[in-house]
Amino acid sequence: MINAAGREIPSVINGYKEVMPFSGAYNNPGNGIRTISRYKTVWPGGNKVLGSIREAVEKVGLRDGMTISFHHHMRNGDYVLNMVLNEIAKMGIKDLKIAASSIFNCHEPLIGHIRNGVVTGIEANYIVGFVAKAISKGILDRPVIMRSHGGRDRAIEAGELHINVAFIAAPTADVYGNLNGIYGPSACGSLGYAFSDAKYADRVVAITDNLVDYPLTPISIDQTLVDYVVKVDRIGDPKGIVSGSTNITRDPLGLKIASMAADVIEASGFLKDGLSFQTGAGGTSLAVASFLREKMRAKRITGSFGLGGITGFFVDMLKEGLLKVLLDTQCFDLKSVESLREDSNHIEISSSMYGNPHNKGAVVNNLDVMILGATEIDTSFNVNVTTGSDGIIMGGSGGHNDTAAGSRLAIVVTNLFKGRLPIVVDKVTTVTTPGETVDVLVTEQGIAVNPRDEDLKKKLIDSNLPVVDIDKLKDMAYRLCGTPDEIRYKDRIVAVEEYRDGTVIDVIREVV
Amino acid sequence: MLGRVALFVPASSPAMINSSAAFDADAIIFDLEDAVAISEKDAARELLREALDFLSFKGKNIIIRINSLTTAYWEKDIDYVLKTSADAVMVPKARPSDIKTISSMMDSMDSTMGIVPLIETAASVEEITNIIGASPRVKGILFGAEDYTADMGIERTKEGSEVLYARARLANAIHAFGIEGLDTPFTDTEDIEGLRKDTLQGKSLGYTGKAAINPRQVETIKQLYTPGQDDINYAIKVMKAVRQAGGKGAFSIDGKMIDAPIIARARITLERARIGVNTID
Amino acid sequence: MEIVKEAVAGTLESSDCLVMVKPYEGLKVDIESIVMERYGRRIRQIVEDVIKSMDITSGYFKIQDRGALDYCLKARIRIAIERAGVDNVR
Repeated sequence: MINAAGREIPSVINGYKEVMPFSGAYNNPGNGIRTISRYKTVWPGGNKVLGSIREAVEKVGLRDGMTISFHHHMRNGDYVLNMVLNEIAKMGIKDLKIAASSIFNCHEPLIGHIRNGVVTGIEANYIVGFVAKAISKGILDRPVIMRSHGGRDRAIEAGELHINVAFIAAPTADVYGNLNGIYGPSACGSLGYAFSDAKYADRVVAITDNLVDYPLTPISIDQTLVDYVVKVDRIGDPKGIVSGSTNITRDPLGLKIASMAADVIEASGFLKDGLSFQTGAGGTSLAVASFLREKMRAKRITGSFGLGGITGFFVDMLKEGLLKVLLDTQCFDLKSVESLREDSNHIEISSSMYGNPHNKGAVVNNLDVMILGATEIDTSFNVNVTTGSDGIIMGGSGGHNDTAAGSRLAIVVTNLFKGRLPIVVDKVTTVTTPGETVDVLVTEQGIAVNPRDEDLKKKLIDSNLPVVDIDKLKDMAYRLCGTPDEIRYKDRIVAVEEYRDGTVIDVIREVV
Repeated sequence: MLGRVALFVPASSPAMINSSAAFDADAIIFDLEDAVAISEKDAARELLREALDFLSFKGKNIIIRINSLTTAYWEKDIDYVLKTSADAVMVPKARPSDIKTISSMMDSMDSTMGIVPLIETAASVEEITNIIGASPRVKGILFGAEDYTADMGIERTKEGSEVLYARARLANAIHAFGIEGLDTPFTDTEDIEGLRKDTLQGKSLGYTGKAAINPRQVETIKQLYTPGQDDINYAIKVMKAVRQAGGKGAFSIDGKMIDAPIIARARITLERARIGVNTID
Repeated sequence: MEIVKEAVAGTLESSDCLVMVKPYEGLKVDIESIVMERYGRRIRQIVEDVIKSMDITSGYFKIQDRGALDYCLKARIRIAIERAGVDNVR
């Protein structure tokens, strides 16, 4: 069948639940009941601190066929996922499903655990590197489920993703299981992605390299949710966890695109007191924030909140008074970790509050402007950030389709082509974010407005911005790069791209 | 032809050539000279010729800087350049005889190409009138302060008082001949505030535009050489009044007498703003 | 005509390609590209067209492509051949 994003979706996908095709971004509200979580009582006098990961795995009763979860605040510096899986593998437990919010290059040992049958399933919001490539080459029998950040929390809360044991990397933990991310040698800042895991998993094991006396303050994830605490030497490599600093692009094309995007925000009428926005940590996205900051200064505008994925750049805007509040699911650099620690207007939020489409209103719904990147965008404004031009997985939604759907103005910024790859294409390789939720595309060769948004188009034209038809941009890109050949796939589906509401927006097949 | 801002792009770099059309420079100066290693001159010529065929530079003037006529590379350069659709050739370390040589080569090819002498030696500053006068193809010049100060054996500073004489001398010459003049590039690409100051200094001397050596400089230079809206509005008012007066000599706007210099200034303002006098209604 | 000595042109920078040619019995073209899946066929076509247009009948061509556009591929191949020098042996 053809879904509402124009993609051919099989009615049955082996190894995946009943297929609900994507039917429109705002068409599938949550119903039923939020999942129940299991009681586990700790009586007075109980001790939560265990001597090893092995002991924790034994105590929580992990068995073949279960689902274990990890969060990705340690990013490419994470030691915890590998550490836990190595122990589990030694114990001879098999057939596990890994529900990690993201998987990075540092998780390469996962491939060995898949080969040995320890791991037979993966669900994640973002997968890059060796594991992503192995998945695209068909290493798993069951399709991987790829979700958005908000979609993962939705799936957990709806009981679609039931976690037996959550292993939470905790930069600081006290002996009774209170956790935060802002202190310790592996401080990562916000623990936003781990909240739902802690709340809804049957068993929760915190793994820390900074065990402190009771009670810890402040508390992000509290003792009522945590079964055990394990102290290890290190939970991550600080160099991979947060970057020292995140920088605005120096690429002149990126700067030009960013400047145009800031002009779009102004022309569309959002540049006024109370402005809220999010940008990615990519160089061009950050540059948009920088141009926006200039405009806010010049017009003496005070924004409302910045959302994300927080960088030092947003912290500066908070300090300068250009933003009143930062709402933070993840810190990208040391400056934002420090700010979360010290500034009471810098607030840690869960990724469910951030983007879950089925709760009583996620923060993305309050967002005025979202700056998005794209690996590809097609003439229907569908965006791919999941697969590369070769069809191999190299990312995933993260917050992409959550913020596109929630924000009032979703702007995609990208070069028209990179190297010889057209970014504006006929049909994206994979739909991550449906075109109906994308308002504007800004490239160095012109600005395309989604045709459903005539008013916006008029505003941009009235402001003398170079508005062009998206088909024209595509033609321009194809004239320079040539029309790309089709990717050759096998029949087998290696991953299902779930939209944030749990419907199937696309499938990803095994590459030849 | 040179406009408000002309962007230098190395003819040896496909990545830079590919992106050059995206920037809002009025002209692009593809460089076969300093930006290209001696061993890569052949490859740069070939790459540039193919690029000019393949890429679209609509709305931009294309200028190619060849190697100096004192080198062994210029003849091959000009051979290639004359086969392209470039609008002009930039001749480094220009001497009057160089301009005559290139001009007669163009004559013999029936080419419509222009010539942009690059003035960057003490001798060429002294000879500026002969250089500009050497061919009607000279529609503009570029001042090159880096080589000029090297030739003089003096230190080049950011503040630039050491080049003031040459810079002003050339600015005077372009107006004497009614041609365009590009001010010397500002070489610290990180210092946008310095660029702003330096651009305004050149503009105050009478230059009609400035060369950029990095795309990040383009927007700043262009803005500074584009008249502000108040100036444009006033110029439009003047030109409307001129039309209404219908050649009846002197008249006034807002109680101020409008004479020939004011009208001339208004014309220049509109020209720089790229507003055609005939389009005013 | 035949390639008589080894030569290279181009670079391994983004949007460029490195072309290496050397003498060989017959014609052989090896292509390595970061966009092989989508443009490999087209790149091969361009290489073969240039070789043909320059009447090259023997030589080994190795193209390491970093996302060069058509014009750049053509220019690099042509210069590599020119640098190598050709010999009309037949």
